[in-house]
Parts: sequence; C-alpha cells; structure tokens
Amino acid sequence: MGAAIQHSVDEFRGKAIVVTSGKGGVGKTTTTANMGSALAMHGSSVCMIDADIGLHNLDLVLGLENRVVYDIIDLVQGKCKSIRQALVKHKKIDNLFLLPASKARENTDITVEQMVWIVNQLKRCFDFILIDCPAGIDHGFELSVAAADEAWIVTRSEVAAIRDADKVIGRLAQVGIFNPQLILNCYKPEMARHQDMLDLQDLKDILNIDIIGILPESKNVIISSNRGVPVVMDEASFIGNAFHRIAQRVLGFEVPFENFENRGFFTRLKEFMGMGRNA
Amino acid sequence: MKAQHPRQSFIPPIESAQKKSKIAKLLGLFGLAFQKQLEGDDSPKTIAKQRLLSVLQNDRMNISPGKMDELRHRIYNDLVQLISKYGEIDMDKPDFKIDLLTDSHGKMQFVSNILINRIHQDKSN
Repeated sequence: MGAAIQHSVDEFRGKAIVVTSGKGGVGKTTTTANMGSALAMHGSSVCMIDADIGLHNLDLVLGLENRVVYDIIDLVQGKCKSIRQALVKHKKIDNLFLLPASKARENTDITVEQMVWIVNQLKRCFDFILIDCPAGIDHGFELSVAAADEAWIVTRSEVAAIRDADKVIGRLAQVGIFNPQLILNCYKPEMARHQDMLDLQDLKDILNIDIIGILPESKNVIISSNRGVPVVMDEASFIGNAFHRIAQRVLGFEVPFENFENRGFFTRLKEFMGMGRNA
Repeated sequence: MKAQHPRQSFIPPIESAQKKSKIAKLLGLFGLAFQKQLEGDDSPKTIAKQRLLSVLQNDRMNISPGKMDELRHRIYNDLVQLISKYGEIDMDKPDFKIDLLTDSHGKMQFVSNILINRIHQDKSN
C-alpha cells in the first residue's frame, strides 16, 4: 500500500481532501456537497467521492439521484469502460462531478489499494477531490482517509461531537495527516454569547486545531437539500455566503471570519433588559 | 489503592445555573449586571470545557480514569522517593500535584511540582 501512495506524487495536480467527523449527523455530507459546489463555482474542477458506501446520500443532497448509472464498486469491478463513465456531472454547475456509491453494496467490496488507485487517477484531471467519509472509525474511515492528502473535520459545538472529532484527529495523525482543519457547523452565536455553548476559542483550546470556517445554523440548508439544490447556489443567503467564504480560504485568499457580534440596537437593548436570553 | 474517581468533581450543576439566570431575568434591567456574577463558573460553556478536557485526557491515552489516577499516584510516589535522595521534600504543604497533559496527536507530558526545603549537601557532591 505504501508504494501505491508514494508512487510519484508530482504528476498529480489535484488535492484529495477527506471530509470527516467521527460522529454521525454533524453535517459531513452537506458540507461536502456545498464545499464541492462552491469550489466549482469559483472555477476549480471538483470531483466528489461518496465513500459512505452502505448509506450514501451525497447524490440525494446534490439532486443527482436520478442520474446515477454506475457506482464506485462497478468501477472497481471493471464494469465501466473508464472512470469518466462512472462519474455523474452536475446539472447546473460546470466542472462538478460525483463518483456515486450504491445502497446494494458494502464498504468491504472495495479495498484500500483500489480506493487509492481511483483517487490518484482522479487527481490527474481534477483540482479537488472531496471524499465524503462515513461516520465512525472502522473500515469505511480507513478507506476514505487512505488516499487523502488533507482533511476537514466537521463538528458541532457539543460535547459528543467534539470528543469524536478529537478521536478522529488522533487517527488522522496515525495515517500521516497532521494538520486537519476544522469546520464548525450549526453554530449558534446567540448561545455562545450567553455562555451556553462552546465558542471558537474554546474549540481551538480543546482540540488544538486550525479552524477554516464557521457555519451558522440555518433553515436554508434543510430547504435546499429538500430541493436537491446546493445552498451555495443561493449566494444571497447567509449560509451560502459562509460556504463561499470557506471556499475562498481553501483557494488561498485571506477572508476574515464572520462577525456575529454585529447586532442591532434593539437586540442589544432587549438583551440589556434581560429579555434576549433564550429568545 | 482506592483512588477517588476524578470526574466526580465535574458533575454539572446546571439546575442551579438555570435558577440563578431566572433570578437574573427577574431583576430585569439590573439582571445583566448581576447575571455574570450569579452564574460564575457554572455556565454550560465552562462545564462543557472542563468535562471535555478531562475526558479527552483519558481518550487520548486510551486509559480509564481510574487507572490514570492510579498511575499518577504511582509516578508521584516514585518521584518523591527519587527526589528524597537528593533533597528534603516539604511534605507539610499539600500543594504538590502531578498532571498529565496530552495533545490530539497522543503526545503526553507529565507535569509535577514538588516543593523542596533544602538539598542534602553531602549527597549533592
């Protein structure tokens, strides 16, 4: 396996990033879908791999469920003529592709070596390969991180998610990914202000990790995944904007973090009167 | 050795915090001024941070809290023995402690402070 990974990395132009969290339900798939879309909208070519093979949902969130013909296991078993045939192109966003998974499969149908081979092939023609990792730290996790160059850890500001994130950071270090970056999802600035929730600085202290983005809690995420349209396509929405800002940071631009403290006079008055709490 | 469970000290007094914040609300305008003082270190954020830091220590070392405490005691006793050879340890002050710090990569660091009254002159030569 080592030889397969080290095999002249220079010829690959792309970067493989695994999106992982440890705990389930913190927003890995939504983050993958939207970050992939945002990066593609900024002009990069992006391929997303659904590595959650038993319980895949990336196709559904992206609205591509009806276009899936082949899946990653078909590719491994040689049922497609080329990798290109297994990829699904996004309807509205150029340069955005998905390598889907299928429900009828299990993640033991694919080996780590095969995954590394696929990702390395994709790295020749894409700028970013985003791997949507399943929850947990078993075979599916190993599969997802084996071929990755970098990692984004999605977490929420709650104790169980943070504990699992720490576990994942340790596991990533074991496979040689030392500087994962954190995306804090479902952030509630109101609660953090009232000391009811861990804030950014606390997470930095506890996990000792760089933070690449904060995503405030938003109804629009649910609405857009119901529609099958990534929320980043609605650039006017606050959450869509937050994803675009993270994408810009990934592309190397200096983008300041959102200022959640920017409140109106009446909000502050209400809070001052003690009415803002839990409102 | 019967070690005290270290996480017992972190039982979160959330109810009292809520009660206090209700008092702060009733105080209305003055609530804001008093709220912080009333809540003190009981805020859910502080509790969460304490609990997480405690539980992550054990997770990162892959060791149960009870075992960890035992290990700490043993290392501490060994250290006292070792240092007693060279100096006189101030046993009256129960200020000494031994802590284990970890980072997310599994690197650990024992940190200890042991108060020493004086160094044995004959042995240090």
